[in-house]
Amino acid sequence: MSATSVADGDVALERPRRTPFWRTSNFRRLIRHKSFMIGLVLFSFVMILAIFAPWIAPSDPNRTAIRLRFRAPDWDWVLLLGTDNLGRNILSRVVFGAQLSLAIGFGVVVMNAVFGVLLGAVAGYFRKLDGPLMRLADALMAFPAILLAIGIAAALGPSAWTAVIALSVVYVPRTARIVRASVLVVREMEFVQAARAAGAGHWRIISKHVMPNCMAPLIVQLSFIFAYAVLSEAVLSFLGLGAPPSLPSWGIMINEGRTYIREATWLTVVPGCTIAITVLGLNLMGDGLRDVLDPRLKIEQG
Amino acid sequence: MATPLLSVRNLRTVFGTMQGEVTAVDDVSFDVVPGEVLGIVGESGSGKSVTALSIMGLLPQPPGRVAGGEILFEGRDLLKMPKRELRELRGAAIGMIFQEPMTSLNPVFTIGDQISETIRVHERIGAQAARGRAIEMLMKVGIPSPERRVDDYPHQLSGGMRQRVMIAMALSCSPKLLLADEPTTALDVTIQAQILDLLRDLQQEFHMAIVIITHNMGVIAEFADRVAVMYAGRIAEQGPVEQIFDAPAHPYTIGLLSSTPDMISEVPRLRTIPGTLPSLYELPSGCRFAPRCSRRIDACETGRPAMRAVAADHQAACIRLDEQVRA
Repeated sequence: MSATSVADGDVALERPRRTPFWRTSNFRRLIRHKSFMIGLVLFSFVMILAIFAPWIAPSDPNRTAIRLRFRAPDWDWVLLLGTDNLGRNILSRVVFGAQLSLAIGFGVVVMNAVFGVLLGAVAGYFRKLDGPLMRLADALMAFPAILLAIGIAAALGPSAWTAVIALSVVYVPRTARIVRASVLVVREMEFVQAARAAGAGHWRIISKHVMPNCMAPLIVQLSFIFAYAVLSEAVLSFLGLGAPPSLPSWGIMINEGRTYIREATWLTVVPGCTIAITVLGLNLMGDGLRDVLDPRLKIEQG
Repeated sequence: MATPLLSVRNLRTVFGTMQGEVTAVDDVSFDVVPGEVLGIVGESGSGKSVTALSIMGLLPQPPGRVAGGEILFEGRDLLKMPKRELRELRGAAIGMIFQEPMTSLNPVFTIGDQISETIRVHERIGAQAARGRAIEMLMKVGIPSPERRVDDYPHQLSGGMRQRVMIAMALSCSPKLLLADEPTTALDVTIQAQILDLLRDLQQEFHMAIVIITHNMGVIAEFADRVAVMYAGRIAEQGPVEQIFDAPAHPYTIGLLSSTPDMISEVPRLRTIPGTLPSLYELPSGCRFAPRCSRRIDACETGRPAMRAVAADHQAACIRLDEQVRA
């Protein structure tokens, strides 16, 4: 027996601290990944707008000032992005719109992380449930994404929650598909059988042995879902089915500015740009995450 | 003979396939008494592993299914036991180790976590205490500086070390029976010997019974007390190791032993048994070994040869047994 037996090894009973995340190799590869960092900067910019909206906004996003309508952007904080057809401050509306967009996007991601994972894990692990669940997913995926979202949103009536629910119904089957595919691979691995031989129950096997080995594609998928959700929310709002007009949604801003697109381009260009920046940032981050976490999916750069 | 710890009676395991049902294990019976090592030996596809999986209730279902027989563990039929109780037995009273140490450990958790986890599935015990037990187990399986290794991830260990961890995990709840499905097949020869020595020591220490599955006669000779030779889903011969090696009765066992290299005699070329294992879809109607048997007579092809006693605790399924013993 070695001198450091368990009895006198109090030190050994303490878990060592985990390697801090900024020292892991994945993190190092991420910060060296150019497009991920560009995406991170773009997305952080929108995040900062959203978080500090009350301080950035020069005025209430819904306050109208008819005499100040259609003011073009100017080198002045208050008029930086101009005003719209009702004299509302576009800078204010854009930053509060960022809040709304990101909140809805985040809501959809959370719904996907919960229900997509649950359904995918159940379908992949319990083979008898696979058929019914996946046929249901097929049925939902047979509809064009945006058409399905429009249908659900129209049925539920416009509100921010409507957008979250409608978009979740659209994207959860896609996430479940991806989770199921990884579960199907992992469940056949020997350590799963070893865990079963050690007496672990189904839920313990799923949560401790199967799911932790399916995280990489899931994280990548969720980052793309975030981008799709932001974009689709704008579409729903544009059509008047997402956020109600009392909320400063980017989609609503584009819809309202559409009438004046010749005379006052900034009404549509500004929210259009913020949507583009957010979606581009998220997509670049998703690409980076995919390259680092799931290199097999990497597309050869030509 | 003591009351058996494990008693497999007329086990029949079938698999549903596109071409119909095939019987992978057909009417297999054997006993394991406490503290004994039973070796199950046979070619690939002879039903060894399926037998082990049937005992553990780990057959991939579907397509696999136990179609008949009973598996008595301490007198209780595992096949009729509620799933929950069976799960409590697995890992606690019956441990199992697998062939492939490289993939039998979960890559995302430390080995300490995985051993503790196994303990905590079966016992109400705190995280710290479980960790202490994990370190103790790692020490028992001969892993150097276990108090540091306990926080290693599987990829930081070699194949032999991982197999030791697997053994530590399987033994962490002091099982009475250990099923070892080709525990050394994937390892280097020197490591194989180490692992077998380790299993031997631990078997004495824990006084457990081991069922070791292998296709290596050397492993059997070194390690087992009794041996069951399987051929095409049936047991061809079983008995004490010395008897089987000194006086094999079944032509298949004789063939197996004469195609094992040894260090004494100089043969220019290793002897082999002609032919291959019959397909489970078209099994011969009589003795399944008959088509490859050098001692075949016409009677071999009608009716299944019964298990007959050769000596005390030594049986073989061959109709020409009497002539052979005399010969």
